[in-house]
Amino acid sequence: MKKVGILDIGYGNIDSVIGSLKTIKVPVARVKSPQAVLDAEVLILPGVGSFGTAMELLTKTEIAAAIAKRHQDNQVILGICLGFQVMSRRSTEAPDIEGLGIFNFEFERLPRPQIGWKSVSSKSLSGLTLDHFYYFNHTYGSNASSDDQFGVARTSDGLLALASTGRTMGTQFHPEKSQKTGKAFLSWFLEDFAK
Amino acid sequence: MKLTAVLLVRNQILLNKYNYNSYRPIGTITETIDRLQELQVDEIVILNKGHSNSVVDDFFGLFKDTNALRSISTPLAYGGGISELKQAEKLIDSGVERIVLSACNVSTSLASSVAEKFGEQSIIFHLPFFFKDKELTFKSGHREHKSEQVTKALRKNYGGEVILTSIAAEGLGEIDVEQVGNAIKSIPENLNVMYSGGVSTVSQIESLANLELNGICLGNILNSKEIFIPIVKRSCSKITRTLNLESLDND
Amino acid sequence: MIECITCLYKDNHPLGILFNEEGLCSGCTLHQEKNILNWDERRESLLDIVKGYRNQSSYDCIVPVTGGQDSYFTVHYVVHELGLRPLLVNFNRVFNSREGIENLQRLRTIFGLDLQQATMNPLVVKRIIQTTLANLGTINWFWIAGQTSLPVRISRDLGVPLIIWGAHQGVEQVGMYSHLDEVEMTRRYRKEHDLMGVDEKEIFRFDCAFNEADIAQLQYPSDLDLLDSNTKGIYLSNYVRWDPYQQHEFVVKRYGYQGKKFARSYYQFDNPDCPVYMTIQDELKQMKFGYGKVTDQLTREIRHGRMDRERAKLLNISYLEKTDSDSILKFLEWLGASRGSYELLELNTSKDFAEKLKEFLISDSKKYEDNEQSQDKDYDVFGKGVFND
Repeated sequence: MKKVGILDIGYGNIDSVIGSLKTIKVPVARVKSPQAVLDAEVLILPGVGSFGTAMELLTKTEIAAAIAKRHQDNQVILGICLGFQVMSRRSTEAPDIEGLGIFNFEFERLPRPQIGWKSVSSKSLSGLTLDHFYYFNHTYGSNASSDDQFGVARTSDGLLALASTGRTMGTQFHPEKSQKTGKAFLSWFLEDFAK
Repeated sequence: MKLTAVLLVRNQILLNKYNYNSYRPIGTITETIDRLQELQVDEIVILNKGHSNSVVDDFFGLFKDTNALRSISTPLAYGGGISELKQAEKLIDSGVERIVLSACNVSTSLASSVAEKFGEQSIIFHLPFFFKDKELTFKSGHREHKSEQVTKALRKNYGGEVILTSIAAEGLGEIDVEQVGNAIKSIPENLNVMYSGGVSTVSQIESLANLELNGICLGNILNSKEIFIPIVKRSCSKITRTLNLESLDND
Repeated sequence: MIECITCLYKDNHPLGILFNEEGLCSGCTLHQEKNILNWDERRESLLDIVKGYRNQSSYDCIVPVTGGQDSYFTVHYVVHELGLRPLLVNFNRVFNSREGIENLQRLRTIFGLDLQQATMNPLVVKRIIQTTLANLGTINWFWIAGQTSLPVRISRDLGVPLIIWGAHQGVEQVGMYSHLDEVEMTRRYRKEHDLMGVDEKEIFRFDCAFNEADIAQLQYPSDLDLLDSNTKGIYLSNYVRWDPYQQHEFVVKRYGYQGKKFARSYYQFDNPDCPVYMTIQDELKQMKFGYGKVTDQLTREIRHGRMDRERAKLLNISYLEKTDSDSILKFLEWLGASRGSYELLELNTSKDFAEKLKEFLISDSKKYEDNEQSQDKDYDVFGKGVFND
């Protein structure tokens, strides 16, 4: 099992992700510098906060550039919720601030925050059987349909639940708060996707 | 629609509530949280009924150590006396998904600063309600708020969800589904709504499920019946996340 | 420490207890319900529940029993008031007294009922007790684990969904629920309160000289099983005004129930079937929590208005000073208590008790070795009543 680095720069619900990884016996460390970001075997960007604050912190600490390089060098990254959103082009939550641009779509404010469990199914991702329920908690979402460029999975009500490009994946849902299915997802991610 | 557990604590003891101010001791919260996860509860909301100076210390005092808190893989919300942004920061950084604020806080700078830092989805407003001379009234502590004031304040988009708790139904009371429907109508559409108060049978849940609710909260019933959550999930098709039978085989 | 202004309980009660602004504990507050509720309505409510179970399977319900008086009253009520045909279920308590064995035999004979009894491998019982005594300070764990799971397994296996218990200890002692909650048997309560937070899966975090297969008789069915079998365990005390003293008088008169005198017990009818429970186990309880079974009994008498608090306090002190040396000596001899067990207990109780345990220390290397003699001698003696006077 690969060793995981969790980005810890003052935003994000890190403890829960650490807890989930420890339950599935994954070695995990906190990552706080650009070099550590580059050195991690697998990098997880956790996700509680706001787009603008997160991007400002990532830019200020030069970690934004390190993440972009990781992606270009085809090193594994998982972004969870806000950690996924910052990898997009932009979010209307902070329209003047650019995202990391790894995924070429945008996030927009939804009519109402999406809080609860939804079923997610995937058609275009090989090796991953979703068709399970995961927990979502977000106010900004995407309807992006970029099947040509990205593997995607959607919720039953059509919102983007997951996208992947190269060895970078982002989930709108919180696997660390999705009980057994969330742990199974993390195990799959680390054993299959991150191989 | 989700099934949410609402757990009341005071001095680190888990409580059941009867009538407005009467409580009974149930045990430790961690045993209940473990059990609720086994039974596939969708979410857990912990409300602190204590009056200590430190709502954050009270929270951490519920768990033996950080590992016990970290190992919770169910969405968690916590509230009951949060009054500063830094308290919210400490809680959210430690694994709490959302904080719970009272009706008093619907449009305060506390709510706006938490929403700005963590997003509106990180706030639940807890709105105990009753009908006073047929007029919908919200309560926080001993204070009463007219519904129009609260509705107007809720439009500011500081929160993601509201828990409407029927004071009349809490504990062992009867649920007036029509009254609940009227209370829901007072909440602006930019917010999700959950109902709490007196839920104890599958048929009550089925009646409530016809209303515009994002979730139904279970309180006293959680510890007094063996497998209420699986029974509800098996019977009520409106609960979004269906039961995973394989996971129930906890042998 | 906070003390209730009415009864003898304090804030260290192991089940958790609350006190209101006047200093009245949640148990006493709940007891007031007993004087307010319409018990005829409660009875009707119970009749309504049970009618759906009548004649649906081989038995109408299961009643877990011991050789104690609660069992007599519960069986009487189930048969004569509810008109049901129960299967009696008993988990062998191992340290059975003559009175307990006779009570159980009389129970099934007088009522003419089937009884299923489970007995664990007595050598495994001894090993379990060595572990629980050393780590949890209790002897009784194995029996509670068995007595609370056996009826549920039988319910699942025979397709008899309804289990009717006597009293809910949490309600009766600390007012954990209202009678009107109609609290049912739960895995959670069993683990947290009956088994002190350690169930038959978690026992293996301690040093155990037994394995999972050895304690199959202690397994609680899975949630999937419970969902499929619709098993439901209810408590008679939520529907009947529960008063063990009065109930005892009734069952003695009507059924010839036998009690037993214990030095530390005010009641002479409480748990006559298990001398270990009323002697050494009770001294362990006092060691941990500062009170014993007699405190529970006297609290009950205060709440039922039959004793004033001052007299109860004096009696409590007097009974808690008593020790039953013979029973303790026999138990320790049977157990072969090890040095390890003694140290882990961190005894700080009466000198006498500590000295007795010390007398029976054997070396660490023989900690879990089964005493050859015990295989032949002690089990049979225990089974048939080693504590004959």
